[in-house]
Amino acid sequence: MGIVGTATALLLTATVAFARDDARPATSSMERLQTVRAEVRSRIDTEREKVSQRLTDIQDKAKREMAQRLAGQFDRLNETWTDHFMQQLDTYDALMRKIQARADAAQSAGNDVARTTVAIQSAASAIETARTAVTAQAAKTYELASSTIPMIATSTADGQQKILQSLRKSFQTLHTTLFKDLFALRDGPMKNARKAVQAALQTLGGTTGADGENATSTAKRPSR
Amino acid sequence: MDQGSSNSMWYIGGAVIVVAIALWYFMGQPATRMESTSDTSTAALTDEFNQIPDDSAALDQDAAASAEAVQGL
Repeated sequence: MGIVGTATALLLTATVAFARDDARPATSSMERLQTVRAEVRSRIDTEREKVSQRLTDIQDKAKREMAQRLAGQFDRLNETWTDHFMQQLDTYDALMRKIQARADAAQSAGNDVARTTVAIQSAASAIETARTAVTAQAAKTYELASSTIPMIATSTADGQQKILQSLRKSFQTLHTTLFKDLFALRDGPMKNARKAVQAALQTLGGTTGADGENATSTAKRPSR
Repeated sequence: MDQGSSNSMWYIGGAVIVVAIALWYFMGQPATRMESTSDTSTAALTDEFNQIPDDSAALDQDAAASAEAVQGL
């Protein structure tokens, strides 16, 4: 019974290990983002509360609600886009594992895959660089600072006007900064990762034996 | 321990091994089985790549919508 038990335990452990290994890359990158965000939230919670209090000075209900929405909007957009970029990198990563498997198969069949191996390593490096950049972006915050809302006589029409002008200016600054950062991420590390995966695919397409034959005859070029 | 009890233990042991092997096959190897049945040719991988959107337009749209919301204040 001891041998039977040991064999069973080994089989079950291996089963669990395989299942975990399959899920690991996607989970860890998203977990990394969640941890970074939790740190950011704990840092800005007090300031967010102050801003919320100051916004109650706006007497026009519609404007007040709009300002409250805008106050949280930029961080939400940053969260949405960094999540999206990270998921996209996980997809590239999964594709690279398939490319690696095909290259390994071609190599086992005695074909030269040196160029593909270099392209795969280059893509892996580009994906990791992009992951680091996305994580750094997720750690940034685009919260309105309570100090940017003027401390003036809020009961007068002039006071109300000045508060709204100041808020609009602050929101415009936040908007410009956020999208400058997101565009830089999209057009820099994210685009580089995409190009590197595309290059690996093209190199694989030119590798003899990648599809069990001369793959150049069947592979299509990526559209971008 | 009598003969009958010993036989029962071996039957139980055998059943556990069968269940473990079944679990191993159906749960532990999904990726391998998928590889062998799905099309992972270079052309199929290229198609898969082309289906991943690069989101240039979507981010531009979010930027425009957000700018408009700020102007509306």
